[in-house]
Amino acid sequence: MTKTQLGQLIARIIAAEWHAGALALSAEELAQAAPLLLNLGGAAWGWRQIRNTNLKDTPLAHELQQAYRLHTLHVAVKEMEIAQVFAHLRSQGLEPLMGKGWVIARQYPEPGLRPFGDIDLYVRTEEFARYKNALQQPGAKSWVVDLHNGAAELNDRSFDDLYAHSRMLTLNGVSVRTFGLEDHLRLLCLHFLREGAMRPLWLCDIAVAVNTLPADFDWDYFLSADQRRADWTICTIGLAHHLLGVRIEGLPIARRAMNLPRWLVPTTLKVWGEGKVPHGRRKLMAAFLRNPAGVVAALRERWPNAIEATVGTKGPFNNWPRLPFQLGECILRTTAFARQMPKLISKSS
Amino acid sequence: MNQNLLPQARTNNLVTQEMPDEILVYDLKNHKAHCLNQTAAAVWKYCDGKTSVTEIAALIKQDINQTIDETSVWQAIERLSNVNLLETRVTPPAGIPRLGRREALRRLGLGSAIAVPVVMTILAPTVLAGCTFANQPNGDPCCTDGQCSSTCCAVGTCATAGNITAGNPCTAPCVCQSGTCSGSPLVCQP
Repeated sequence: MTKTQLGQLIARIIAAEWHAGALALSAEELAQAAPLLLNLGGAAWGWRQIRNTNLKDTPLAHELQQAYRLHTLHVAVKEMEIAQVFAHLRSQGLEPLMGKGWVIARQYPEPGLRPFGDIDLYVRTEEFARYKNALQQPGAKSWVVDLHNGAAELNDRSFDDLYAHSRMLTLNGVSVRTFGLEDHLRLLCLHFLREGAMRPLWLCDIAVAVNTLPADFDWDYFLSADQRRADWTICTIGLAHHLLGVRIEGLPIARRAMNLPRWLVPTTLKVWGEGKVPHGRRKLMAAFLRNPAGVVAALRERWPNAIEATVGTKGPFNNWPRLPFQLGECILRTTAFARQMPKLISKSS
Repeated sequence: MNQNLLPQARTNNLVTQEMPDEILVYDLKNHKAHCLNQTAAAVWKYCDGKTSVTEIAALIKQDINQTIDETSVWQAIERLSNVNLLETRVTPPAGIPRLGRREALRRLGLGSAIAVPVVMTILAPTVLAGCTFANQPNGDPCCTDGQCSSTCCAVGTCATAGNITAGNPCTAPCVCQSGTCSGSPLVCQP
């Protein structure tokens, strides 16, 4: 099975949620898909799709079910932690915006289908240091918080705007502030693209979000600000439609979303089939300064795919070849790395 | 009456999730997760420090309309005690047969007779932790064939390539001599 075929298999399993009828999957296909599902965070979702098939009693299905059970408990534990984090920060007059993770996980049909490891909090740049201090206090250190200085993906809007559109959710009796639905869907789309479409579950997030949009979803606001980013987000929703079967007919973006650049679908499928490690979990390039063994493999692993290269270079989603964008992204990354070199060398010596 | 005969369930530092056919328990003290089937969950529920094993068996019979004998209740209590879900350690009387982990897993996996109490510790699936492996020896986790020194990654674990003959169970094509693992259940093809 090629990487692309493997990616198609993953897409078929995830998409079963939005297709009528039981998922038709052979034991061989499950054997191919299970390791990737487990590694890419989609095991619980995979279990949901096969638990009513004749594969449910196989050892592989048992592995997926174990992941589902474990994620269900982890989500419950994380929910306690999120409530504690917000109560702690609020007691110090701090009010962050939460995104991704639990915010989208709660929209899934069952807890535990969407595992998340950290708590993503987005804060104003001018308050970043205060948040950092608050999260380093005794009792707070055990919380796994990913503190974002601003909201990079949404920085074409002011933080005041993001706050003005934010909404409150209640979790274990504590109010949790999160992005408005429009900003959050945009964040999910742009994060998925920036990370090179690495995790199928991130596209599943977008599918779940689109599938549960309220009638009063403000498309004008969603599509406002940077128009290139707006176009990227439409294409991402189109990708969720194309690969996962989410219904977008009747949405104001449907026409563009159904007309995707020809490289977008194959790139995504290949990435899923490769089961690559997301950026944040790779060994740092700086680590190769002292011990260059493995540097060639690391460089190869970092060759940007068409999606991350286009987004990284702020390129358009059209049908032009992607190689110039990939080369451009490499130059940008190398330049950024070279700028840090003196600091890294002095640190390592 | 001996205090050990009135088992009491732990309530502190536990997170529980009720599922349709089971209860999931996360122990915040040791970060271990457990799965209790309906019968074991019912035993745990009645472990209130006041109810005897005989009474628990009778209560469960009413509760889930299934026959459960005292031996099964003791087996559940022993397992609950072993995984620290009881306030104090409880040892069953001599003569109570033990229910091994393998047998418990088999029963839970098969979703068999509901009156059999099963307490299972949930282990993280092998490849859940990450996928940055290279040149892994047999038995170590992997995600792709190329990450194993044997070039064979079978369901997340590096395995010897091509050593299983036709007709025997397999988990991935690379473990079969023929390179083909198919059918239901999966077996190496000629």
